[in-house]
Formats: sequence, structure tokens, C-alpha cells
Amino acid sequence: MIRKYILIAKVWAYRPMMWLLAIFTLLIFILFSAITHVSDIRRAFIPPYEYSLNGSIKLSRTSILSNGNEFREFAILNKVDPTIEGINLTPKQRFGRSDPFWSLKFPSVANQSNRNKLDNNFPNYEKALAISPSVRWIRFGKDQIQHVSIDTWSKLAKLETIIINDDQITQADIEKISEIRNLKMLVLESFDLSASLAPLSNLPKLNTLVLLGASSDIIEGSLFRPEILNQIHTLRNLQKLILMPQWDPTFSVFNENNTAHPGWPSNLKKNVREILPGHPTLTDLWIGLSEEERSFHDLKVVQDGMPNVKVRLAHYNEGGIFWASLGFMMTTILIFLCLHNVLSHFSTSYCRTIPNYRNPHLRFVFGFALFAILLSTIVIQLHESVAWLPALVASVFAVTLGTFCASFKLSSPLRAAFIYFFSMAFFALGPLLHPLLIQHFPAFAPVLDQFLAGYYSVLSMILTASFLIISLPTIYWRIHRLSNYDRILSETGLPPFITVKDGARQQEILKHKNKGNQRALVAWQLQLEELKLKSDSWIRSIRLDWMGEQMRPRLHWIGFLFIATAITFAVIHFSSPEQKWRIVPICTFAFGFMCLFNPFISSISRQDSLSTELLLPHSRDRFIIIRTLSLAEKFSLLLLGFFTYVTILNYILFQELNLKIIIRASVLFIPITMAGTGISLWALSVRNIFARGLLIGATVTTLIFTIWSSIDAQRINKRDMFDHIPEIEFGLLIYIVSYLVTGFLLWTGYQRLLICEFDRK
Amino acid sequence: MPVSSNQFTVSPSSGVPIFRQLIDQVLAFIVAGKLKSGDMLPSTREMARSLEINTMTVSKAYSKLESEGVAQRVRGRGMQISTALTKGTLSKRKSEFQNQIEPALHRGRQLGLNDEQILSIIKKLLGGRKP
Amino acid sequence: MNQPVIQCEGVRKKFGRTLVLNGVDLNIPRGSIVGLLGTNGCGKSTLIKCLLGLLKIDSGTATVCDEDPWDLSAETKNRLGYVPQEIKLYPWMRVSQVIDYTGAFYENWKADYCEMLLDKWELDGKKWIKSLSGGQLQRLGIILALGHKPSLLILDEPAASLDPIGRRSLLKSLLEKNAEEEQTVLFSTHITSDLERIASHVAFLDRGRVNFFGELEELKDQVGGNLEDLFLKMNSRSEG
Repeated sequence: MIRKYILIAKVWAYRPMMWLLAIFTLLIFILFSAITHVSDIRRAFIPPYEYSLNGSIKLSRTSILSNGNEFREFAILNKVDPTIEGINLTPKQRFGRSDPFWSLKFPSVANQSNRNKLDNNFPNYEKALAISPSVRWIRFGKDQIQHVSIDTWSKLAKLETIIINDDQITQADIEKISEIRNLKMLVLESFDLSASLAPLSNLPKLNTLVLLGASSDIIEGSLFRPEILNQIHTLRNLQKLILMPQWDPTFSVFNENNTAHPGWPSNLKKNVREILPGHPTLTDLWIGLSEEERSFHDLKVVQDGMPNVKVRLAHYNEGGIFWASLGFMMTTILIFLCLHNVLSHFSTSYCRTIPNYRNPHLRFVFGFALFAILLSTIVIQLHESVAWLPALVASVFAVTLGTFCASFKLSSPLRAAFIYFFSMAFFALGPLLHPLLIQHFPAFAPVLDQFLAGYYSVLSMILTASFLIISLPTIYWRIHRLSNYDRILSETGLPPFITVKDGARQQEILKHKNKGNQRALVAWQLQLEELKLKSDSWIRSIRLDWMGEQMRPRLHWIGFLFIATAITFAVIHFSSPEQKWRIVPICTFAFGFMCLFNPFISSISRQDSLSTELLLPHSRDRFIIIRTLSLAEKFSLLLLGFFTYVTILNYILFQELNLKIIIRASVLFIPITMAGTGISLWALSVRNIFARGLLIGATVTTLIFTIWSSIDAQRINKRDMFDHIPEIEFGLLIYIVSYLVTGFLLWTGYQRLLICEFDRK
Repeated sequence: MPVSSNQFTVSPSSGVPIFRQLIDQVLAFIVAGKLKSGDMLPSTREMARSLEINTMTVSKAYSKLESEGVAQRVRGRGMQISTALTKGTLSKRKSEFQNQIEPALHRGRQLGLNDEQILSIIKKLLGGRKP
Repeated sequence: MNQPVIQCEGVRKKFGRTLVLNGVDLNIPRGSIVGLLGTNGCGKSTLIKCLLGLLKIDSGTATVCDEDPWDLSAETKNRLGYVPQEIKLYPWMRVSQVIDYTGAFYENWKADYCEMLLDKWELDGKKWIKSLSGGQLQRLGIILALGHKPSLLILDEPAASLDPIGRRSLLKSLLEKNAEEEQTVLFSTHITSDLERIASHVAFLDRGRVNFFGELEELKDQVGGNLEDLFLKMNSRSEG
């Protein structure tokens, strides 16, 4: 019966809104193409090294002494806060007009602006260094490092990182640096490195080298010339190397003869491939490529030559992110249309009286959702810096998000429309959002870019799989519920909702009748009616058990609490970005708290109804098994989300995801689910206040266990976050003990329920 | 067919049941001589269609006519006006008979006969004339 | 008469705190044309919606073709036609498209019969739904309900927005269907004159109950007066 589907498609296709939105989408598409085209030229300037250092540069304002007002204070008081970890001796504007790159291009402007700043050769900085014993990193400006004496170096026992920002780095500078025995990381920001890096091989701990700078044919001392690479090859302990030429198309005017200088960025890839393979300790390599070769595919040649080294792009391409947000928006539009059509189909009585009406329509909707995913995947990956799999992840995610909004459509279609248009606007602002992202999550943007470029295929697959696992049943149930829309309308006496105008009419009526809540109640009742018709199965029983909690205001309240917490922390986060590392455990804690306490509290609140529920026609065994399964399912879903969150966070912060972490997460996941279920079962049967206190204690212990495990998985220094919580090692013993304890808890909880007198007050 | 369905008219909102209106019209046609014994009445369906009324109403009228002996159902052909029909409806004929028998009863009472005795004479007379 | 097509026993329906149906008992025999009469807002539409599974019956039982109306099978729906009080269709479609679309779901859709009805009721298949007048929309709604020649037809105030010609024509085609195919019709209205001609049975619905259900002609014969008088009498009786 293809005819049916053709005719359904016709109903969709004739809809004027479909055409309006199609034109809108097309316009957006053109606009985005234009934007990404431009943005590819204005490639991002910030190198990714900040995140690659695993936190050795902390951006906490309180622990940095900068060349600015702080130095003035220091000059007056002659005192430095002993906890200072970093000193920045360059003028504040790091990538602004004080940049050597800039002064080369516009010397007059740069000089003028520098005049307004503090003198680069501020006389007291060496004094400042001498009395700051806990300094871990220093950023030097022009010629500053030459004035530091060996004595001073010897006082800085904790110094690990040196950053030099100078238009010319001389051999003397390098010699000076090679005196710092503990140096682990060196960053050279310059465009002229007329020196040899050979002295650096004296530094036994140096494991990270960053070369960042403009390169031009008129200067012989390019940072990326083959000699420098040869010298790097001799650095024995080097593990991480970042080569980041800052390439500007306007520089090509200097290229008078057609033969490019060997140090010119376009030769970098070739040089690296020829020189660097065979380095004994190198594990990570970031390379910036020239404008013509900006895609991750271009690095494959290098990667093939160095199988033991992770080769990545040092710069990132905003285009991919823009394009992904375009795909997102398209999907949102498509799903909006789809749901709007579903509502039209299911809002008149015809959906009830016409035979075989529901299933073809639902199938069509599923087909459309798949089509939306496919289309958006294709569109997103059209961009050269986006791979197939991440495009699929983005599309599936967008569809899932869209269908989540669908539940609002039942109780308030206009609110749903509002949410939709809001999210569309949000995605439309993607290009504008990007600078914000760079500013507040400097680590996130490049990771996102690399993710889109297809670097983390395991993560992509996990995400696709988990989104699908979460979204397919969601899409199914939500749309299935939408197919009862006509009943909700007739129960609440509302007119059908076919066009947007009808929606406005409904809202007008609701304003007078205040039936908004009733609509939700009716939706719930109808779901129940439908379940009653289903044949008796375990899944049905579990769903019925779940439904017992859907209308409880407490749950909404907890959900609200969760959202409020998230928003509060987001606000804190954005208002003081230097606190961002602290936000992770707090959010983790809030999330974990919700995951564990929500079913626990609902268990306690369901105590009173147990005796009546037991009288329903099922055996006591079955009743308790169903309750157990329902709780376990709920926990596993919540915790699955939680662990996905932790894994993603871990990835974003440290781009680390290996089998070990996944296995650990899943091994942990099971006992925590068991513990949560066991505790909730106990909570059902226990009425004694002391016993309840004990249970809460057990819950909190489980909670801490969860948080620990997640923090451990995130490899955040626990002492920084919870100073009072001692370190814990996750050995085999811990797992065995946790399985035994939680298994015991679950079993006893179940046994206790079997013999519990429910009606005992 | 002597009388077609469109010669009937009904007035649905007159308050008189439609089946009564039909019966009256059939009788009127018989009295007027338009319908004679052996004539066929229009079929139920035809009647219902042309008068735009429910078939059940027509059937109801026809069965009443049948029970009053005005018409009879002929298998496969429809309703036929009864051959044994004299004139007038059953009630008319009944009232005529009543008019005749009333003076006789009056005379019987005068002769001192009680109800039982009168009935036994009538039964005897009816019994003697049994076919 | 064999097994009733529609059976109701003690059907109750509440909207919030208002009790709309308060124990409706009704048995509709096969092949009858039943007029459901009642004052405005007495629950005629509610009863019909309950019988079609559009609304959930709070208590009591109802069956339509021996099935629970809440979950009618496709088989029953194939034999069921319904004309809602307010016809709501996709305004951006053409008349013929809507007919095709509806017809695609029925096993025994009679496209030529629909064409015939379109002609008869002077509806242009090429017209856009949004350009139809109320009466034209109602006609289309009736065509959609008749296209598969249902054996049970339920109409909720079908004649309300039809002109006298359309109304007469509708009643006539209902009668024809009824005569030819033994179609059962349930027909809610408060316009008594619609029923005088065609109804075999009437049901008076008052304050959520069926006050009277029986053959219309019998009722007239016994009580006297036309349907309007009866209607008034029924209501005054319940008031008294």
C-alpha cells in the first residue's frame, strides 16, 4: 500500500508552512555557506596549547602576577603573594597590538599603542621573581629573559614552564633557558628564531615544546625551517610538540620569487614527514597547516609516516562548527515540521474513525525522522572539515532533542513552538556563539573541531549508539503519545490543531478556561488507558509502575531543582571563568545527587500506596519483582546518562578515552545501579526513623563512591576539589567488595519486601 | 399499476403518524374506486423512495392494512388489495353490523333473556353457519 | 431484529465536575434510523464521541458492533462512517485530494460513488478546502463518511449548516442507503423536522439519560402530535 504513504506525503508537501520553512532553510544554507567561506579565511588565531598542557598553566587570577596593576602594587609594597604560581611579564594584550606579528605589519600603530602600556623592561621584575618561590610558569616579553641571573633561577625550584614572546629569539635566550634544569615546557612565540635549539638537549625534563609564530620569506630565521626540526629531533625527552605557524594571506605579498622558503608553512608538512619520524619519545604532535591544506585529511600523510605519534591539527576550523550548527538547525526545522504535521494528523476525529490510520502515519513519521537524520548528516559532512560519523552524531542528537520537545506539544503546543523557535535561533547564532565558546571554553572549541574532524571515532560511535539507544524509544513513545492527541482535545473540549491559527485559537480558549494542567492530566490518563489495553507483559507492568510517579509534583520539583542548579552554576561559570575547573565536580555532584536521590525519595513517597497497589490483581512476588525491575531500569537509565556525561567531560577536558575508562565506567555502573535499587527497595519497607537515617547514610556513601569514581575518571586532582576526601585507589578488591555489598543490599531489600507488612503504620 | 406511489402524499409534521396517513389514503383510493380488489400496491421501497420516508414506516402501514384484511401479501409480488373485500374498512363494516344487531339485543332483553342466554343463541347461530 | 449494533448500559461521562452522561441505556437495532434528540448541551455529542472512542467512558459499558469503542478494530472501522459536528480538514488541500487521502485507508472505498455524490451536491473537486463554505464543508464531510458505504453511519448534527435543498438531499440519500443496504444510522439533532420523515426510532436524551427510546410512529400514535410537540412534552415532563 504505497499509495497511502504517497498521499500522506502529499498532505505534508502541500502545506504552505513547509514551503516557507524550506525557503527559509535554503536562505540559511546560503548564508551559512557565505559565513563559513569568510570564516575559513579569518581562521582562529589562538593556539590549542593551553589545553594540551594538562593544567600546568592555571588561569586562576589570584595566582598570577601580571605586568600591570599588580606590578605597581608590588613596586609600592615590595611584597609578593607567596602563593603566586605564574608571572606574566608581557603587556596584557597577548594577541593584540603588542604581538610581534602585529608590529611587523603595522610598526607605527604598534609603537603608538605600546607607548601607552607599562614599560616592557620594568626594572623590578627580577626582584619579583626572586621572592616568588612557588612560581611554576613565567611569560617573558622582549629581551627580558636576558636580565635574569643564575641565582634567581636557582631560587625558582618549582618553575616548569617558560614562555617567551619576542620578535626575535637569539642564541643567548636559548642558552639562558638551558640553565633551568627543571624546565618541562617551553613556548617560543616569535617570527625569527635565529638560533639553534641544540642547547635545549641539556634539559632532562623538557617534554613539551611549542613553536608559535609568523613565518615569512623575508626573514631567514623561520621557526619552522628544517634545521630547527633537525634540532628538535635530537631533544631526547620531548613528548609533545606543537608547531603552529600563524599564517596570514596578506603575507604572500612578500613572496616575490615563486620558490617558497624551506621554512614557509606550506613546506612544514613535508619537512616534518621527512625529519621527525623515528623520534624515540615523541607521542603527540600538533601541526598547523597553511590555508590551502586546512583539512584533517591533509595530515594523514604525516600520520602514516609516524604511526606511534598522535598527529593532530594545531589550529581549528570554525567552519566545521558553523556547519554543524547549520545541520542542527535544519534538523530542528524538519522535526518541528514533522511534529506539527503529526499533530494535524491526529487532532481530528478522523484519526479515530478511519481504519488503519495510526500505523501508516507513525511509520511515515519515523521514515521522515530517519530522512531528517540522513539529510542533516549529508549536509553537515559536506563541509570539508567534518567527517561522516560526527555528522551523524550531531544529526541524531538534534533529532533526539527535537523529539524531547515533542512532549510539550501535548500539553501546550504553543509553548513547544516557542521552544522550537528559540532553539532554532540558538543554532542560527552558532557563528556568534563561537567566539563566546573560545573565550570561555578555550579548550572546548578545538576539541569540538577535532571531534567533528573525525579524530575520536570511538567516542563518535559510543555517542551515536547511546543517542540511538536513548532516542529511538523516546521518539517512539513520544510520537505514539501524540497519536492520542484527538482524545486529549475532545476530553478537554479544545478545537483541533491543524494550522498555526488553530493553535492560537486553542490558546485563547485555554486562557479563559485554564485547562493547561488538565491537558497534562488527560494525557496521563490516556496513556494509562492505552496500557490497560495492552496484553499483559513485563514491559507493560514496568511502564505502569513508572507511570505511578509521572504526575507527582515532587518529581517536577526535583527536575526544577536540577535545572536551577545547572543554570546557577552556568552563571557562576560564565561570570568567573577562572573557576571553571571547580565547576566540574560541583556539576558532577549535582547530577549524581539527582540520579541517586530521585528514585530514593520517590520510593519513600510511594510507601503509603503500597498496600493498595499490592491488592491489584497480581501476585506479591510479581509485584515486587516488577517494582525492583522498574527501579533498576530507572537507575540504569539515569546512571547511563551520568556516565555518558562523565565520559564526554573527560574527553572534552583531556581528550582521553580509552577502553580502560569505558570498562571502568561500566564495571562501576552495575554496582551503583544495584546499590541504588537496593536502597530504594529498603526505603519502600522501612518506616523507622533511625533506619531511614541509616539508609540516607548508605545513599550518601554510594553517592560519594559515584562522585569519586567519576572524578577519578576525569583525572581531576581530587585534593583540589575535596580537600577532606582522601585519595582512593580503584583496585580489583574495591570492585569485588562493591559487587558483594551492593548485591547483598539488593537481595536483602528484595527479601524484606517479600515479608514486609505494608499497611503497618 | 392502478395507483403509483407519487399519488400518495404525506405531511410529516402534521402530528398524524405517517403510517396512519398512508392507510387512510389507501382506503380513500378504495372508496373512490381507484383501487379495486386484486390491484397491487406500490412496493415498500418505491413508496419510501418517492415519499422520502423510512421503509419501516411503509411496512408498518402495509402490515396494518394486512391485519385489517384490506390487503394481503403475495409472495414475490408485494401487497395486493384483498379479493374478499366488500366495501369499507373493517371498522366501518363492524359499525354497520353493530347497528343491525343492536335492536335485536334490545328485543331479547325485553323478552327477559339474560346475557348468557343471548350469547348461547348467537353462538348456536354462528355454529350452524360454520363453513 | 437481530443483535443490536450499538449497545449502551449505564454509560456515564464526567468532564471535571460536570456530569454529562448519567447512565445512558440504549440499544440500537440493525437497519434502523435512530434520531437522537435533546436540548442543546444535553450530551448528544458526548454520547456519540463515547461511542466512537473519542472520549473515554467513565463507567458503564458500551459496544459498537460487539467491540469496545475505546479500541475499535480496523474491520469495524471499515464498516463505520462518522460525520463530526464540525468538519475540520487540511485547509491547504483540494477537495479531491482529501477524498483520495481518506479513501486510501479504506479497503472498500468507492471512488466513483464519491464522484457521483460530488456531482449531485455540486461540489467542485478542484476547490481548495479553505475556500469552502460551512455547508459545502459539511457536504464534503458526509461524502467522506459515505465513500466506503458503511453499514453503520453516525452523524452528529449533520444538517445544522445545510440549506433546505442540501438537507433534503442528505436525508434522501440516507434513506436510500438504509433501504438498499440495511444501513444503520444514528443521527443527532435538535431539529425535529429532519427526523419526522426518516427516523424509524427516536431517543430522547435529557440530563444525561435516555428518557424514551422506541419507534417514532408508535410514539406518535400513542401520544399524538408531531415530533416537536413530543419533544416539548418530553422536556416538560422531566421538568415537572
